[in-house]
Amino acid sequence: MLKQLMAIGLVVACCSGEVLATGERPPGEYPIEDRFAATVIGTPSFYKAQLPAEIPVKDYTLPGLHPVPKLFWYSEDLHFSAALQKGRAPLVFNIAGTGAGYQSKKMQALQKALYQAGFHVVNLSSPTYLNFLINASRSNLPGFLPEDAEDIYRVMELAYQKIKADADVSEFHVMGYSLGAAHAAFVAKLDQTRKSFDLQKVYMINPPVDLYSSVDILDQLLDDNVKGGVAGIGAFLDKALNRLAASYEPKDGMHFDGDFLYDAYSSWDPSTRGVGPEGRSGAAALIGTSFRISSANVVFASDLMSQAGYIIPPGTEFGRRERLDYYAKASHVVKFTEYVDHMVVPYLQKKYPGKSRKQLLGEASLRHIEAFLAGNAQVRVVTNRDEIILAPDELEYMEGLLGDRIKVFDHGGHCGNIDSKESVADMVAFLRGGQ
Amino acid sequence: MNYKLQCYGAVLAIALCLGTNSWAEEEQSDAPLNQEKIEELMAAQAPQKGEVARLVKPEVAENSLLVYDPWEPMNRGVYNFNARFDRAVFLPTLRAYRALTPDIVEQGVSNFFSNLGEVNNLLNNLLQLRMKSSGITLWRFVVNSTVGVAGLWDPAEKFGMYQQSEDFGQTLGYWGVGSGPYLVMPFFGPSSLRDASGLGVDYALDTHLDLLALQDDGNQDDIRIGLALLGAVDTRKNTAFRYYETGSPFEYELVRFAHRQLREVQIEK
Repeated sequence: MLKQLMAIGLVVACCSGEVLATGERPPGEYPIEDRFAATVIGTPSFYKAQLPAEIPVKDYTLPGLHPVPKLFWYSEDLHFSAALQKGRAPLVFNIAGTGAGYQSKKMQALQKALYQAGFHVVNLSSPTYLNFLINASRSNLPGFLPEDAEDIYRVMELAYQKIKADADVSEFHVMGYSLGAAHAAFVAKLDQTRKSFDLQKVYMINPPVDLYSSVDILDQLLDDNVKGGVAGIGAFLDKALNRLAASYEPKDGMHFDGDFLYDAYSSWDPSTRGVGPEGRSGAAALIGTSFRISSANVVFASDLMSQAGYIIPPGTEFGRRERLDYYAKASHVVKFTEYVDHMVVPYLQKKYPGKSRKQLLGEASLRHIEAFLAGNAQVRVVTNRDEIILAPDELEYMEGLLGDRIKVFDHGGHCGNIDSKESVADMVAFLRGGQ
Repeated sequence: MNYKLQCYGAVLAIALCLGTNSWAEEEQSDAPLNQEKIEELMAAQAPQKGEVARLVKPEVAENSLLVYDPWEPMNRGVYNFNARFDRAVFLPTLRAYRALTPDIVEQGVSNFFSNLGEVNNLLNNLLQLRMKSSGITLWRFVVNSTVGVAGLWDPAEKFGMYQQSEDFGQTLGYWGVGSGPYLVMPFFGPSSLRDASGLGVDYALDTHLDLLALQDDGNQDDIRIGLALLGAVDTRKNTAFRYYETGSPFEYELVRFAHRQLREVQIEK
């Protein structure tokens, strides 16, 4: 009986196309040439850097700055994580991108890559991530780089106090991706006067130059690629998810940050991807949607925490079981640029009277600290020729500013190639000091 | 057993009644609720905030993320309970389990439970007239129970025969039963009236079939409890979801929407 079964099993195995089919893998560098698709799909596993499956990471908490409203009962205390080496090693502070937490997929990949290369790695959430926004943002209105940097710097100091006993640190570096990369630069600039860490190296992955302009580009992706704009998100997701019916098998649970959408899109058949009717791109629509979800989270949480009264009438108290769908709807209508214009700028103008909107937005740009960036040999930027969030002249500007301290890959869109072999190699080489 | 089945029958009947017209209700239930709230809020807003007026204009953004959820307050309560239970009991247990057992044992446990589930998968595939999937499931069960030593290994997958998961909720959906109201079940998480009923049927079937022949065992209750707990830990291990890590204040809504979408996709497959 057993023999027969095994024989049948072998026949099945031989007949099964799935076993025999080996995907075509053109050798070389990052393969996805469509910048939106690259951003969504990330790095196909064949081109990924080899990373350990698990590393010893510990979660830590720091006390929050503000009383936490009942509605956010689950987000008391600021969380961060650290992967620490046994012996003496340099420590890297790693800052997440827009809306991402310290434990997001990209952050975990970076933490693994650096830990493997012999660094202590402290992962910090973005100030735009709910847990950070509630507990560690002094204004509760993240998005203004100089103030965000102050908040992050404070967290870095407290975080280091917390892990000091377990970490033998030789020197400190700071890095980040996307918005986190811009934060890293501002943090490093701040460290020049504060000198708590004497930060040695600053590594920036896919940074924006002018934050407002980058955010505007991302806002626009939704309007341009989702039929009906924000009102069409539900219908678009419905359609997109239905397209997956044929191929997507939700095996390992569900994540509802951008990663969730990424996983979904990744499983689409390449031949059915691409540009839809009226030149709309499904991938661009997903990026726009994902960004709008991040921005809605910020709008609602900022409004509730700062009592700005933008969507939530001041004084509204939410219970733990409050119905929120109305607020969800309203929050998703707000663009990130509108959040900046209607919530952040008024707050700043009250705080710094006499400064114009233009002045303030100018301060939230890498151009504002260009002297620091140009004059510091320990700053390195890595980005892509087909980066989404840069305006046409911004890549040239950075190349002019940084000379040979900027590395530009051909493909990868926005952070799509963050854990590719070449990217990880570049990061490790720079932080180790081999460049 | 009969009594139990009768109960499930009753629940199913309710599910059928509610389910068939649930979609129509969803569309209607949205409007009056938000209209009222919108007016309330507009009255509360300072008039110079033109932005807010634009945001809350009733015709803006009909919320297609909405899922029929008449029991929302209760569901939110259960959702919060699940999150707390997860944090206080489930995840610490899972961490201990992962620390104590080698990966290969964990995989064996997963395979074992997954293999026990094949009978249920087979039945539901048959009920949905999916003959190819039924065939695959039958072969998986035979191969994995023998070559795979009582299901501890999954050699069938290496032959390209992947698990064809189907449950009774999906079977009901296949035959046109609407999902009914959204329901967050204690410990189990997101579900719907239909799927919760389906889960009951699946459970009753498993008990009735008694694959492990526990009925003659003197310690059957202890063994059942032990298996149920191990099964729970194993299920948690295979579920990547962590409560409140999305960083969204609207996680409840997002989970609700995504769960409904995924179930629809599963049923369509």
